[in-house]
Amino acid sequence: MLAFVTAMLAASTARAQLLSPGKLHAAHANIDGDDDCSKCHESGKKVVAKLCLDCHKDLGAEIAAGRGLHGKQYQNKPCEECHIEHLGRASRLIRWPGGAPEKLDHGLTGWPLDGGHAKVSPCSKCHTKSSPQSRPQFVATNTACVSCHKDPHAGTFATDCKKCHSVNEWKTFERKAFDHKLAKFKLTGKHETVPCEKCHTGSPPTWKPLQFATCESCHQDPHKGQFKPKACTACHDTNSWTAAADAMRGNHPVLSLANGHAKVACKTCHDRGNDKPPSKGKACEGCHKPIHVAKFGNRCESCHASIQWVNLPESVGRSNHGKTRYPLEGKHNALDCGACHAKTKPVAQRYRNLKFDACNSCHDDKHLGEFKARNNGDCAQCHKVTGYVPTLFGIAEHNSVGFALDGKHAATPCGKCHTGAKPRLNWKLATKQCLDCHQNPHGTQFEKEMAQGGCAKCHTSFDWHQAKIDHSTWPLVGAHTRTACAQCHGAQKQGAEPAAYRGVPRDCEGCHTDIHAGQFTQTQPAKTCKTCHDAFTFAIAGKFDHKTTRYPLDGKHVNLACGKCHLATELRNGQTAVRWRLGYTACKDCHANPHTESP
Amino acid sequence: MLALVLIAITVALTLRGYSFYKLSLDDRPEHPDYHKLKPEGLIGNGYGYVAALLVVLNLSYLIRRRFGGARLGSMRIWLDIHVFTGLLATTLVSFHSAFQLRTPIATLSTASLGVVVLTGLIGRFLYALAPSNARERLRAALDAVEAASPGARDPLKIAIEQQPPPNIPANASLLRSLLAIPRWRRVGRKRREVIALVLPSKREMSPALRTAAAELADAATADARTDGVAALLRSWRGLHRFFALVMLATVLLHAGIAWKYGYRWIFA
Repeated sequence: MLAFVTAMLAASTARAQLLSPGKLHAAHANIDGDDDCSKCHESGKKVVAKLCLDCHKDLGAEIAAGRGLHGKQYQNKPCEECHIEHLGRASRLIRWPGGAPEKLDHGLTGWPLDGGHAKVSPCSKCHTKSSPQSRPQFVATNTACVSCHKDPHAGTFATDCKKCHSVNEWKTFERKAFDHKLAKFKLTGKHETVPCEKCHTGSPPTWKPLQFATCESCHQDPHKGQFKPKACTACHDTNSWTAAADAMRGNHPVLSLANGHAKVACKTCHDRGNDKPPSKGKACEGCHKPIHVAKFGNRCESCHASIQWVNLPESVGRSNHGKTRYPLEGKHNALDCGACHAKTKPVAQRYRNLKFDACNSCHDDKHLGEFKARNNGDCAQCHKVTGYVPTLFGIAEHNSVGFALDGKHAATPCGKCHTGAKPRLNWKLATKQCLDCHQNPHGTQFEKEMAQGGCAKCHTSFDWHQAKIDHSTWPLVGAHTRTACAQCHGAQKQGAEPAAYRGVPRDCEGCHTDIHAGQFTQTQPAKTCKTCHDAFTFAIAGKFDHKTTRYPLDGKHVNLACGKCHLATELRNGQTAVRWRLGYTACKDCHANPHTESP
Repeated sequence: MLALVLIAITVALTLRGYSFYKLSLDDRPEHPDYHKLKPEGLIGNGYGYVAALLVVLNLSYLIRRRFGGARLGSMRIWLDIHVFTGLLATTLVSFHSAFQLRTPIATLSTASLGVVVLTGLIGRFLYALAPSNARERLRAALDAVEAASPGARDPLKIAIEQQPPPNIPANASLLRSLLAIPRWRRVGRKRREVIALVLPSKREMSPALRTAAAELADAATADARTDGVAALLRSWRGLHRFFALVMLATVLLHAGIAWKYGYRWIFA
């Protein structure tokens, strides 16, 4: 049994169908496997028609359009009612209504088999399509007559044969139903009312072939060839023979008769007759006087070809503006023409007499005259036509206004000093003092210096922290040269007390803690720090002379480590520190007597 | 009684759908009852649900066996119900599948079911074969012989004890239990022979002694096979359970897939 189970699971074909309730039909063999269940099934919904139609797209289109057997009869019917699956490769996948395809009532498909169609057999005579598995396919069969029948009109009348013919009798022809627009010679104008027999002569009438390539095929030329080789249609149309002059207006050679020319009578130009060119020639200057100041050239038609003097298309104006005294540059290129050539101005002042010598001919002074003193307020000293910003006003220009941007000021954004909302138009500042922008972090300590030269007395604009400080009143030597200012003067904090630069203690104890716990200040003889230490290093090794004490070192005491005698201990004032003043003089103060006899 | 019910149900279901089941798979959709009797149909799927319910009921035998006491009824009744529900479930599963094995799962499930039924029937036979209170029965039979023929018990007892049953541990494997069958059968045969040698010939026996001697021979034989049949039954039950588990797993898999895709009988 175990071997059986193993064999079942091992065989690839069996594994592919482990969960399936049976093999699919051969047409669906490509989706027969446990990985393909979701091709037809949806969780909790059995077989889902939408999934079927995902593959059978042509069928889906028929159902959506309400066409064919499925579209007309089985709109909401489950697929599996007629197409039963999982019955094996050779099972019948289609359960035909009536039991077999030949017994199907073809009327149910919306295409009843009338006339000669009722005798057609087998089905494959019309249903010629086949599936990818080479099985006959009945869906989406082309119902056009020409899909089965040869078109005797060779495509002349499109494919809707039923417009003129019926399925019962092919040779019957419905004249009134015939749409002559489908023929090569479409009936227009007065031709629409001409009886068929006037053109299709004979009995029975000759429908084809018929000559209609030129009007002379039916009509005589009353001009006796005077306008050859022109065709009649160059001047006449099928609506009216006498409309030739009107037709000519829209078809005038050499130049257009539109707009202004439309009002001109033919003889105004054709002084020698309509069929002869005017004696003044064909050029515009023959009749019109050039008035442009700009050098646009003498090809008037390149701009006014549509016989239009004013309100020419914008593209004409833009493409020729470079030839005027004011070529369009920068943002002027994107402006509407009306922004400068306002329609509110009279035509005489709108183009030729437009002022453009200064920016303020068109633009308002946004700065309200603030810069009038500088180069007569010429906008171009700061602005370009490529845009109002960025301006040309840089550091060099700023240096000329009485406040040179040096040091860190050169890198400070304009808005830091020139406050206010953008766009910033008013650039004037009331004063130019440091305290106008900066705060004084020293409080009142340097009032005297502030009165004499302000912050610049000590600081530069290059670096606040590199102040010009004269420390000679308390010279910095030794380790003090490396000590941060804040170590002695206190760190400056936002909102806290300012750093103390005046009144700082000058003696050692002002900054340093006495690690000797008062041994040299509270006992006699009193000594200051400087007696033993200097500003270079706190250590005094090798520098202290023990001979200056009451106990000069000799013998083996010379090489003893200090800590052998000077131990950290609790002093009389209660603090703990290395005791330097021992007060010992006798040997027994440190050493035990090895010669003492035991009792 | 239960057997009659089982046969009646089988006959009724066969009559109900014979015309459908005899058709080929491809012809069945044309049958008027196709939508009812197909495996996912109203009746066909119903067979499956009832069969699943019977399988659950069938498994309750294990609860009685392991946890229940005599207050839940005798083991014999529970075993009868176990056999009945098992066979009826098998019958209903066959009708649910419409007698078609189209997939590995169905084949495996059916094969497991078949083996479960077969091993169950054999187990039921072994259960009947297993003697209960064989020692007591043997002692009573010896007493009966002693009453009919005073002084005969002791030599008989010694003769029987000289033919001890084979030593088969309670947890012996199935193979070992099967291999032991000839041994305990041989012991049973020998015991019958020694009893015949000790007692007088049948012609010389009184009717009471003849009856007691026959009972003694049966009791001694039953005693000889007690351990062997018990070990065989225990290991055989393991085989029965293994295939029952395989069947249960495949049934659950089958039901799970059907439920997932919406084939839920009246619950859809």
